[in-house]
Amino acid sequence: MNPEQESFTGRTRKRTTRPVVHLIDSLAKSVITIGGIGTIVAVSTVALFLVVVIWPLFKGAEVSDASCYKSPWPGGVEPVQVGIDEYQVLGWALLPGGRVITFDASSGKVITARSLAEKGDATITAVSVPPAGPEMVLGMSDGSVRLARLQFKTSFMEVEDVPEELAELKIGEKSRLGEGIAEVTPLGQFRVQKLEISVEKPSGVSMDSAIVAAGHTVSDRDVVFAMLGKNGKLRVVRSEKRENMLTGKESLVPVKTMDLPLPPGEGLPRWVRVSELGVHVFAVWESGRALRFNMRDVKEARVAEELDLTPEGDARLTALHFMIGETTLISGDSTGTVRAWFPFRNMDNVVDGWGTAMAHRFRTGRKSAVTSLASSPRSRIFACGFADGSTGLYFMTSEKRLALLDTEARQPVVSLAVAPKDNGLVAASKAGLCRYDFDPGHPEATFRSLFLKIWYEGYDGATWKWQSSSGFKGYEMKLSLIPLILGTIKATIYSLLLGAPLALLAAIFSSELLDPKVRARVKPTIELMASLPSVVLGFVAALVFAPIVQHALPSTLMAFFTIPFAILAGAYVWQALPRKFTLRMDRLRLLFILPVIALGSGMALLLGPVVESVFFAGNTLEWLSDPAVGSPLGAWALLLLPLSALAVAIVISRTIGSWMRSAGAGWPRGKYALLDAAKFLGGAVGAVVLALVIGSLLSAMGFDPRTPWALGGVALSPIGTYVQRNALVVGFVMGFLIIPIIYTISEDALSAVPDHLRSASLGAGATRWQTAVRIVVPTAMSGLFSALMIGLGRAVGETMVVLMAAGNTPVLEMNVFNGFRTLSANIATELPEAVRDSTHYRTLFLAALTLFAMTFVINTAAELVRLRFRKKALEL
Amino acid sequence: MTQEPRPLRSDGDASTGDGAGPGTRPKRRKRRAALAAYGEPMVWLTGGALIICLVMILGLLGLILWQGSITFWPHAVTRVVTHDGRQMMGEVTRDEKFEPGEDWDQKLDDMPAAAATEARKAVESGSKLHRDLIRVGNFELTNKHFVWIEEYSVKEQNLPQWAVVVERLEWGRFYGMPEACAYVHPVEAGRVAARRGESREVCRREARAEAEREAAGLKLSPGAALEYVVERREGGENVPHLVRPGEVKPEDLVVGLAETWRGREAAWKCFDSRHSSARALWHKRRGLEKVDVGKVNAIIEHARLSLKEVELDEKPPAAWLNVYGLLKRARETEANAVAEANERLRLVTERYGKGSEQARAAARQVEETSRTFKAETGKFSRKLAKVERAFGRPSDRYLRAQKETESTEARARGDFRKIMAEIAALDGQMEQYRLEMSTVDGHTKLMGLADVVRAYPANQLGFFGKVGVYFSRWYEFLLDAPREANSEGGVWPAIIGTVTMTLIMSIAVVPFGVLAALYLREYAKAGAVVSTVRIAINNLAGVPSIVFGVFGLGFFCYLVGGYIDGGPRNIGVAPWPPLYWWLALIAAVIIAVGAFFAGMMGRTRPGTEVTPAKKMLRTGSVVLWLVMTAVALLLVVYAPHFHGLYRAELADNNPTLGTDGLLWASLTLALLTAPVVIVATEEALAAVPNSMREGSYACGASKWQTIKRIVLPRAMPGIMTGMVLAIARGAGEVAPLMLVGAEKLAPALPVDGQFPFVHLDRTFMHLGFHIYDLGFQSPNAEAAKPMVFSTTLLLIAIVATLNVAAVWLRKRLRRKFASSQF
Repeated sequence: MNPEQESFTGRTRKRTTRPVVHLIDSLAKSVITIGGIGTIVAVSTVALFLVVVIWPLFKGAEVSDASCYKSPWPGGVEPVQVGIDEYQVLGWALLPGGRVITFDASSGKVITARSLAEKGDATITAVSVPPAGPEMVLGMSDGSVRLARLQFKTSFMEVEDVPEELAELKIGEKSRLGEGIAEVTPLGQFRVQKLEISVEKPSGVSMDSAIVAAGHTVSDRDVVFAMLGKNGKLRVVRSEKRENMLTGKESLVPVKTMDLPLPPGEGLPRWVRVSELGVHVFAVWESGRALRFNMRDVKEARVAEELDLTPEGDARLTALHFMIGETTLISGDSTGTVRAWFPFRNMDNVVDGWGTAMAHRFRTGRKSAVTSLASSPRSRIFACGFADGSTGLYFMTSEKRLALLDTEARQPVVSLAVAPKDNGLVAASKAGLCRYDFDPGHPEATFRSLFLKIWYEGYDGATWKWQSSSGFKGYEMKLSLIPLILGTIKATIYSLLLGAPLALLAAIFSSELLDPKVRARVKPTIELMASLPSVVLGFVAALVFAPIVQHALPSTLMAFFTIPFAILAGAYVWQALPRKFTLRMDRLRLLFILPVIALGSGMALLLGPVVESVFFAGNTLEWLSDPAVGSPLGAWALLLLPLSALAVAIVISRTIGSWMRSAGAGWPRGKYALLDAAKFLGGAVGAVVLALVIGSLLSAMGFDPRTPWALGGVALSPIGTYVQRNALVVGFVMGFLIIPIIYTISEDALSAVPDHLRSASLGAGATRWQTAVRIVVPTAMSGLFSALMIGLGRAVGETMVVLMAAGNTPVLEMNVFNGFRTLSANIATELPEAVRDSTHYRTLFLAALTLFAMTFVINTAAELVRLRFRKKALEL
Repeated sequence: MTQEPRPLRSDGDASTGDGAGPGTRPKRRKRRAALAAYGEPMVWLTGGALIICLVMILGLLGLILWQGSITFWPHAVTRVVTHDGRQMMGEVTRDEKFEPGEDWDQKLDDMPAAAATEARKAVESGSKLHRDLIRVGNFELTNKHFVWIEEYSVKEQNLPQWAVVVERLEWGRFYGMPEACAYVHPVEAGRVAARRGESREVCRREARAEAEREAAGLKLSPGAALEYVVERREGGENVPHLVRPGEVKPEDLVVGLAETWRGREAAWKCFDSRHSSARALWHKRRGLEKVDVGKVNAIIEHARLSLKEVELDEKPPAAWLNVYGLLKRARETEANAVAEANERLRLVTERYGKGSEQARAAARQVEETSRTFKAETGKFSRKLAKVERAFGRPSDRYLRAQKETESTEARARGDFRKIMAEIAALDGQMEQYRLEMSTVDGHTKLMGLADVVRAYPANQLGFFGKVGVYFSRWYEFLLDAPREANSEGGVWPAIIGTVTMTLIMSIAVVPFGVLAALYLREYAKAGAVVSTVRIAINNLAGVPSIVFGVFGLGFFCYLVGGYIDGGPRNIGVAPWPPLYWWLALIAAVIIAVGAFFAGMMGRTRPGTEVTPAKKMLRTGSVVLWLVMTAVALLLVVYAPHFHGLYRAELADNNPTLGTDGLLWASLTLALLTAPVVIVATEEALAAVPNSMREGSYACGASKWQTIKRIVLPRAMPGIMTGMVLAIARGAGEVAPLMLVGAEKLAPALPVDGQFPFVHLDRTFMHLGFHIYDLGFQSPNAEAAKPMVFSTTLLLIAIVATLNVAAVWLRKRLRRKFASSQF
């Protein structure tokens, strides 16, 4: 400061501040600012990071390399089928004449050429290619059939066997070696990739005319052939694999041959397809018309179903292919539309109890005709070639378009193959061959598959399903978050139903009616609950409460009614006691409530077995699980009792209550109290009777709460089959978690209501109860609301209790006696096993973000309301 | 704020009015329907809710306290004889009533007549049936830990005087009667003969001859008898037995001479006096195994990793390494085989004399072995030469490093052999102490004293004896490692893990939390931004802990840890080319210098006016600093020269920090608890009256001086309260730990005597996770259940202590304020 400056005291300051103080001051400022902002930023990166991890889920496939070259086969020839090995070094192509050529996948140079048909053999007229596996079926012009195996064989060469000319090869380099291609792996091994071809003529599988279409399926035990002859005959042959005991060679023996009737005068079908294990046979015409034959346990083959695979417009079917698993057919038509179809259980079909559904319809992004289809041998990715030379890559379950690849040569793509590791694609056209390297990304997860209903293969309708892992082949991940979100909501609802009333009522009592000295002890005790580690509660819930509740279910249920009844009854008795006594004992009221509650629990214990034997056929658990046992009356009565009690209470307070208030003004206290008690007892009996009457009416009408009323696939009935670890137990124990939070915050809110309001009310002659209900609670309403919201937020995210006590089955049920799986428990169980950066891993991060968003929204709402309340309370 | 429930006037009025009747005081205003206005039923309902809450919490605490503390109390051991002749002995753990099931009639038919009569009587009397769960132990004999015994099937039940409960290192508990206690002198002849390659028959004969010779010269201790320890084939295993000299069967292999004390009392007395010395040997052995062997292993591991480091730099051909590994293994096999053959030759020569036929055969065999294995080794050498021709040799630096590593390994192996010899000697000493027990169903079992953790004659214990066992179990529980899939033993590693993690978490969270609160309350300008940040932080306190766990796993473990382990490439980031990176570094430095000077020039002396130019300079400085921070961050992420600190481990597919562990668990919990600390600290700071700050400024103190001397001391108790609350929350949190580092059985403690003493990369055990694991993943759930209660009690005790500390601090804070208000 300027020393010349005059101060108002007339004295000037002589001392200056040492520079060190300035330095430390600014240092402290920067450290605190940087540290503070850094901490805040670090804390808020949580959500940001989750988004970063989730982001790739919604991206498409990434095509890293595309190379096109002149076809290894003579120009103008359209290959029937192409293939590529898992390392993408060797490819093959089947040419119309029956020649198979292998070529170097990186340059397109031909390596070998060989004919599948022997000299003097008939020519190939039909080919059936499976979605996975090496066996192809060739239909010949003489009506016979060949089973050709085109199998890549990987072998490793010992260093000493490597020929001189390859010894110079460095790691990662490739070179042609004989009939195959050798590559040096990162470990320094020589890996040789070859195509092995074998052709077999299965005995007993033939037609008497040239075969124009063929289909087949191969299982561990048998091969099923379907052949369409030029003469219009459709024949299905099942051949079993038999091993020759002496030579160990496997041969096919026909065990069943069946000719299927085709309707006359429609021309020949273009495709014949056999589904997995030979259950269904499809014959499909180019017009889109399709017939399905069921081959299982049928003595006489009949048309089981007739379908139209081009339901819209007059498009013609141009391509048909099976997905892996040979259950789902994908069809492409001349307008560029691709659809997926599969059989499902459908009792409406009287012929065989199956129906074929169009489960998916793809937005391909192209309008020109579909010329070829190929499915991945490991996942539900398929590729689709169009007449304009482009190729699309799609994922079946989620209907996601992964990539759309264009080539310069606008020739129709006639054959496609997806590499076995889902990381490459070969597309062949008249002009040449294109090879693409791609990373499919995360095709299973889309908004649709995460949040909307999807019709999965093997299910009888669209549904929400979470099933992230399973053992069998061709399995698809089911990643719907809806069952988990529903589980979270279920946990929240049931724990709030139990915890919120208790906590709010307790807060009102302790803030407004409790002796401050007692309150000073009671409040920390309840807050102590908040510090209980939730793992403790989870353990107690699952290992202590769950068996007890299961053991004494009727009594537990009765306790929900008898305890409030006992407390109310106690209050009416208290009213009837002499005023001298109650006034003196006012502070000890809590101590009187304690035995009353014990009395209520005792009543529940006694009533439980009675109710069980009267209403629940003597065994509640059995009664719950089987709607055929007993009548639904008891459940209706219990479910309706709260409602009927409410109705009776309203009616009574409107009629007798108001009469008593006016007429009873002059009555002595004792008389009034007795009448009041009589009114209460009458009301209680009335409520029970009303519930029973409505219940018996409903059960007479045939309604049963045990049969779930589904709404959009969610079973809404609050009761049903009993499972030991269930929502009731969780709700009860989660109450422990949310009661202290709701209690503390609402107690604070109630206490923050300024005292002058209370004084004014009391001064105007209101009782303390009237003051509490009409003045304090309305003033503190927003505070109470925010307390509820914060309790809700806590319940939404709780992990350990639900993990341990909720059974963890992702079901779509509101049944209080069944378990559930919440978002949080799901993350805790599955994330440790999820492969880093896999779809599953990222989906679990999405679950975490969903949880984050849910609690963040709830908490922000609560916080804003609380701040408003605070301001209001200050203004008052 | 006081709410003294003074008797309200209206109350008094009403009472006198009602009680004395309206007639006595006619002047008073009549009150209408006073009773309804009191809302007594609703008051009772609210009170009832409060009572239910209190009963719930106290009931739960009481349950855990009761169950947790009775776990270790020793119970009497009951012997039960059933009607169908089964005999069993054990502790009754719990009982239950049950309903006769659907196949009850079938069961009745299958029962022995006496049991069926009892059962019918029980059912007819209308009561439910009753059964006890008995812990029978002896798992290796019965394959059961627990047995349900229905009351009706019991024929006889008593408490045998000499029933002894043995808690063992393996197989769980043993219930039986002591038969004999033995001090064994080993007889090695049989084993030596076996090593010489003799037939079983010869081994047995030689062992017996040796035993008889030694027995003749053995001086027995007073009161002891001479017996043999023999190994007998039983169920495919060699089971040791104690037999009298005359009872040795020809097929037994004598392995020792025993001085035995037979008879329950004598055996027990002998056991009692020798148990502690046997256990001392066992503890010594465990020390050797854990500490010394661990040290040697660490040396070998370190040598291997440093070689790997060189390997990553020099990149020797993978094929060469492959074949070299095979060659090395072949050489080791050769050396072992030849050594074994030589040892045999030595033994044979010793027994049969030089030049005997057996010795010549053994010598031939040595040659044979050596030839066979040499040929094998040669094959790999030739292959290596071929690989060298095809792919080239590794660099000299690599070969040198390899040689060095191999010599270190060889030296360490020598040490290792020494330790193993010491352990073997201890094993031999431990085997000298034996106890023979018999079970009620007629088996005998010879066990080593060192394998017995604790044994007591349950039915003879007086009250103080029981108290002794009780506390000795608590001692073991608190200070020992777990055994038997965590269902026995102690939780010491879990305690250490919990405490270490909580400490590191506090070290991380407290300074930063306080800094953030100081910034928000003292430095940041109050406005919309700050209040938004405040709301957001408040909200973060309510975000589910599992979300923080997910974040910790993805961000700390995989991203940060992956970066530290293996540099940018390991987290999927392609680093910048070195040139660009250095240019960017220079740019960052220039920006930083610019920002610094802009900041300096933008400073104004207090009291002078802030010109627009200076204001611009200040803003510019802030922007530059921000840019610099961003660039610095990018520089770190895209660093081309950083290949990670633990890339050797990473190359072994064994990430060090790039996986879950103590550090990341602590940091995750620190992040989780940061909002709690920030909110509490802010509230404490806000509670310091502004008048005190203003007074300080008026005295000429600077802002930092005011904060340091006036604000922080006043706020300190509040900050401490928040801190303790946060720590309590962190200590009890389990869900995030399941993702970032807690393990059911960690291989090593996170803190030990080896450098760097606190191992941040290790996984650890945690009390909360231990509860989850014991209660839900334990193979022997029934035996684990009591342990869960004790662990729960321990965890609650820790958390409650922390909370009580917080409450106490809060009280102190209030008192301090009461006196320090101006």
